[in-house]
Amino acid sequence: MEKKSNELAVKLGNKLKKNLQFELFLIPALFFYTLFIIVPLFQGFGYSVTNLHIKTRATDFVGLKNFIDILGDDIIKNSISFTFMYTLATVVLVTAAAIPLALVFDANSHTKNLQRAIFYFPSCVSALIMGFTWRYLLSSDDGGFVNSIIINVFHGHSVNWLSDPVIAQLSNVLVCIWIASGWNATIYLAYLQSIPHEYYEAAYIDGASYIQRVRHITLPLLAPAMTISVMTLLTGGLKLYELPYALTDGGPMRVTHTFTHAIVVRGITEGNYGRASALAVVLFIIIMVFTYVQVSVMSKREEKAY
Amino acid sequence: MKKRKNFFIDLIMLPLCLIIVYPFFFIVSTSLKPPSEVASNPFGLTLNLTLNNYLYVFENVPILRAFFNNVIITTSSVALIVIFGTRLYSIGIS
Repeated sequence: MEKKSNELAVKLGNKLKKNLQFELFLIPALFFYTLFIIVPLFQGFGYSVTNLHIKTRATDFVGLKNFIDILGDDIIKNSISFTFMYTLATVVLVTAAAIPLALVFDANSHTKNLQRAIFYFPSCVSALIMGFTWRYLLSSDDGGFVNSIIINVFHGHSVNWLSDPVIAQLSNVLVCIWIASGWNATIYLAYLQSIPHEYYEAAYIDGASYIQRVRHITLPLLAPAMTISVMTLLTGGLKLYELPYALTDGGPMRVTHTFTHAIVVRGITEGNYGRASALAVVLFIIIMVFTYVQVSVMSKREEKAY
Repeated sequence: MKKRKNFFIDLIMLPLCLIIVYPFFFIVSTSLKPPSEVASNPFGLTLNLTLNNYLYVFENVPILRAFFNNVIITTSSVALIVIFGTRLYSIGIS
């Protein structure tokens, strides 16, 4: 009995030693992660309850005043509604575009690889560059590329793509679909190719049509891909900054101001660090809650599929 | 169940590919046009090509310095991620 417990202690000690060896390698990574991520994060939490301003440099504790002031801040109303509209629209529309795209990429066509490469390409380039390019192509006068096509080919009226308050928001969504659908289709394609062919063959023999096979085999088995793709779209949409900055510069009349844009305006442009930190804390909480709910709901859906 | 090559898909997808490619074509073609051509014919093809824009960039914009900065950031972060990330992975499976 005693011998056995001795052996156990030695085994445990060996395991600890072995693990410790590996965990020592964590220290440098942990050090830098703490220094550059964790410390600034908590500093931000700290600043959000002070009146830190670039002019006064005072850090007096003001409690929740910053958070209460956010509610009455007119810059926030636009940015919250646009950010949520954009996020919802891109999650739904990019997913709706990416799944059919993935199915098409998976089918056997002559230019399959060319199509995949071309659709993936926009996500390799900075969204800033794509935004400036589309700003030029969509420019609202009759000389804009898209407008000149509408006028000369379809004999329609020119559209104020970037200066009409509603259409400017839609233009941002459209350009995002243009950028993101290929990248998301690639994720779906990877999971699509891991679905065993036997399922389709069995369904084919049982007389299932193509639509039925997609509906009852492909879509349920794509659930893990959908969790990842929707999560990246959700977090990317909520912390959106550079695309509307390049495309519409927050205008017209601030309707395409995003949440991050508001943080930058309050913090870096105006130097009101306390208010900006409070905004950042609110955005942090929003993203955390949304992502947590989304991942837990969609993971349950994954389990149901298998 | 070997699938036959579907010509119909190419027919639909190639125009869509053009929509994706055009802005990139636009960037490249504008970079090769002289300023007068950019004003008169901004979107189409032209034979009146020039490399002056590239000369201007290399002379007036510190583009090599900027590219060098990107190279430093990318190589060092990839190296650190590979070193620390693989360590994390080996703990995960041990």
